[in-house]
Amino acid sequence: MNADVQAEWRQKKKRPRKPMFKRDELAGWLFISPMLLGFTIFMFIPIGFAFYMSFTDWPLLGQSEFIGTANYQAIVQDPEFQKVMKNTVLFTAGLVPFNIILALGLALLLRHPLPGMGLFRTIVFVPVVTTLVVWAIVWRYMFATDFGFINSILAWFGIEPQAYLYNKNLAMPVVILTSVLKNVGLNMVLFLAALQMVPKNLYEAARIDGAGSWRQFKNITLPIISPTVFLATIITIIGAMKIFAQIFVMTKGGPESSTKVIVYYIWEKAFRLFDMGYASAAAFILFFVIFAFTLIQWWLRKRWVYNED
Amino acid sequence: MKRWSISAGLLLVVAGCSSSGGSTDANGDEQIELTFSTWGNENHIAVYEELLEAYYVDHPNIHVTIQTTPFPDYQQNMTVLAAGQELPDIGWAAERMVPQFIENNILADLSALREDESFHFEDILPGTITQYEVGDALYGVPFSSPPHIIFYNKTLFEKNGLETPQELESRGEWTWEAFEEAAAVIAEEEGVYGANFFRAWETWENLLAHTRAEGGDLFNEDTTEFTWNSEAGISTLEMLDRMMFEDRSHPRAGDQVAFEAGNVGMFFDVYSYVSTARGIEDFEWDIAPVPLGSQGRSPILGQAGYVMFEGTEHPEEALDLIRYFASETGMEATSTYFAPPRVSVLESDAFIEQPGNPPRESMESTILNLSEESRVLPIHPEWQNIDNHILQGFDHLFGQTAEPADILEQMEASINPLVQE
Repeated sequence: MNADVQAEWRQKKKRPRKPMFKRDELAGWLFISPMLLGFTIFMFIPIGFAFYMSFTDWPLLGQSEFIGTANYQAIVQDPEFQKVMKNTVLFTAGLVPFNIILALGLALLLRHPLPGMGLFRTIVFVPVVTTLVVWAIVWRYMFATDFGFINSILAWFGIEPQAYLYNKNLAMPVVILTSVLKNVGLNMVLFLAALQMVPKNLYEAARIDGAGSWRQFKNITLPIISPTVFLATIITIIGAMKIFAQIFVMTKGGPESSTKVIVYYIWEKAFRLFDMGYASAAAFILFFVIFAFTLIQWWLRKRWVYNED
Repeated sequence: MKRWSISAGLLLVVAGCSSSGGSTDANGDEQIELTFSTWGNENHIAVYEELLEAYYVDHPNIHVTIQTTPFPDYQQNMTVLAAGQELPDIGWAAERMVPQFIENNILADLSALREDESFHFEDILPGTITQYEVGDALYGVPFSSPPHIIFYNKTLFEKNGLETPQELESRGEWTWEAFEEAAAVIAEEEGVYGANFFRAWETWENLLAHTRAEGGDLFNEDTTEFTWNSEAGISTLEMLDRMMFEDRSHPRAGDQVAFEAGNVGMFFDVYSYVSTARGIEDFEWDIAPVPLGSQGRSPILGQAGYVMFEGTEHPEEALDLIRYFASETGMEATSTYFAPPRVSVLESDAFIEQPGNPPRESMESTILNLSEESRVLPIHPEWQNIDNHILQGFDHLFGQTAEPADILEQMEASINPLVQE
């Protein structure tokens, strides 16, 4: 053992590192303990309890009974559940591409620091900070059958007034449209931030090589902002699968259940029909579906998301 | 350790201070906090606040907190509170909520009121109390038993040269045919509708007045069979379909109309709507009974009552408060807005001649004479589920995607298993 090693060994012996590390660790745990406690009390325990409820016949009032996986079996065989899942997928498939494309288009239009651009960006973003319920109520009145704003406009062109929210073919497109207008501003802001990060010299080089606007967008802009597109897509899909307030206020799942989506179905089972066990099971099925969707997208990202590394 | 003991001590002190019903006033009386839950609007609350001011004079140790929840959310809210054992002490309950509340044992027995001579239990119309009775137990006392009636825009009738429903009623000619014809004439003016059955697009029960007048009903007598799928029921839905899409005399689903705005000739609602109608200044209005059918007339009776919830810490005081609210004094006060089930109050000048009320003869033909013919809305512990299926049927009617007979057949197929369980 040489002198240096001996000195180091003595140092270690004098002030052992292990207890010191433990003290740091303890401090760390103490710092995060309020949050952990909050998460445990208000999230993990209720989630665990809801998971247990999903294996019971729980009528909210009265005695509960453990029934194993009967709720899950009943749900997957329930034609209404199959219909609401179809509606949820339809809503998501209608909203997500529309939202992403519109948000990207608006971001491309509004990215240049021209006079008045701030005002336009604000106009697009204002719905994001508007209360969801108020937004849905206003649109319900806009789409009113007799003297609603939309029908009044269409009447100028001789188009017969439509009962948009009471027509099973029109109700879902109307809800999709109003939902897109509500949230497109958020994705637009994400895309605006991403567009600022694209190096200008790449465009200069492309222009010198004779690339037009479309090729610049396709070969430079889109690959570089693809991580943001990926993030916005995941967030929007999850949000779309959890749609509730617009449906509750505008259509109550009607007409003929054409807009009844999974979260509305869960709410109805739990708080209108008081079947809490069944509703909990449906909620966990929704969780697993969203989880699976997210995993698939995560796996697919390797194929199209640009990575500088 | 010292800090821990101080904290624990403080916690005990705070817990002691916040314990309900634990404090006493200068006279040594226990201070009692009661909660009273309603779906009333600010006018209704004002009536109760005034009533309570008088109550506090004799009960200085009691304070009542009034909680309000909108009617569409009320049953859900009470059920969730019951599950969390956070129910108020007393509250309102509408006819459709009572079976579910009784079945789940969240209502306390009020039968002590029967024996109380000062309460004059016999003064309450017998037909209004049956839904609260299970064996010898009494789970509520009604305070409002309004028949579903018609509010009509007298100005629109006169403008169109039509005889008013009251005029026709006085000759016994106020029939469903006369109703439909008048509605069609009124609707000839652009932007005006002849009649509206729906307060909201979910309140379909007014249509039962037509079915019953034609000899049908929603259920059989013991509510074990859905009977709306009958000739009478089909004719009801066909009438609505005709008025909406042929005559255009009834708003279509999604139309935003309101009787008080002056663009509806006749509007079906319970008498309690009078609280809104009294504020109308732009036109003259009056009330009329629902029209006569081939089998006579049997209007729907809405109903709301006072209930005491199980688990109240102060059952005696809560019962006493219900006794006061449902007494002659209490019902006289609430009869400003609600049709009282106490005969002495119902027939009193104080009720009939409330400021802003329709003429006495209208009140007599529409409210007093009808109370005996009326029957409470059909109810069932599975009401929410049944209501869902009926609303889905109306979606077909509103969207013109099925014929009335097919709609009722579909309703029967989905509702019968629920009521036959």
